[in-house]
Amino acid sequence: MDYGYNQLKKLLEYFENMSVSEYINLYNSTPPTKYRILVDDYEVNIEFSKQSYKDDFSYLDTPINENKITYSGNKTLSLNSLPEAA
Amino acid sequence: MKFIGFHGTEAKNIDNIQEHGYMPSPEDEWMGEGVYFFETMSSSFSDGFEEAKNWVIYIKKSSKWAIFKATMVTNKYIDLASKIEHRKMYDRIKKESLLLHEKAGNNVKEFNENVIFKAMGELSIDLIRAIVDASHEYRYHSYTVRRPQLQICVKNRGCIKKNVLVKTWRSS
Repeated sequence: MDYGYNQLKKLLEYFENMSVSEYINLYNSTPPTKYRILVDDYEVNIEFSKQSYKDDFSYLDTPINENKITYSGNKTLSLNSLPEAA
Repeated sequence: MKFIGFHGTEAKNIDNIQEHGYMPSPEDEWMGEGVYFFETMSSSFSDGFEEAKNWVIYIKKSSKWAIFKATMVTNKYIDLASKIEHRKMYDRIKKESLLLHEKAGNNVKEFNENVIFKAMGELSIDLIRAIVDASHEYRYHSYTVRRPQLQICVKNRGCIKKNVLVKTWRSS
């Protein structure tokens, strides 16, 4: 069988061995809207807008600097040098 | 294996995509976290370009839109559209997850397949390909599929080998 089939087989084994509580956690898990990135001595926090997140898909492809970004550190931070959020 | 997909977006994102690539959508999208493309089955069944254009105009409600055409190359993919062995294995996974869903005291009618795609996030795959019924109507049961879409969810953006802006609202 091919690569994708073997990956799906792994996923089947994962579900076969999953406990009910693990399933509940997986089912109820919410997608991350906040990301914390460490770049050298900066701590960068990025929060996607929940309003746009749910209502009009505008979070998709939104440039990183249009979302809420805070950072701590003592150097000037260039947004263009940031790694991608996810 | 080569895949060609179309991605619709707002025109303001053109420069960002061309310079930095795509940002993935979060994991509660239908096939989980990734970058979504529409593929052409055959133009009479489902035209990838038209689906991408309709999506950005009618779902994102953007009058200033842009369509990219991307080429993905990989052998690390799951194909729920045309590989019968993949579909059979997916059905076994769904059966297991439905059992867990019921054991957890949930109603089967509330089951959401997204839970399987969330778990796929742990797999080492570059993309998932599946047929989606865009005409799905929640209020009543229907046997017919009036608007099939062949969608690609790219998990690993490294498999996107080419990405070209093909049309914008200005050139339409």
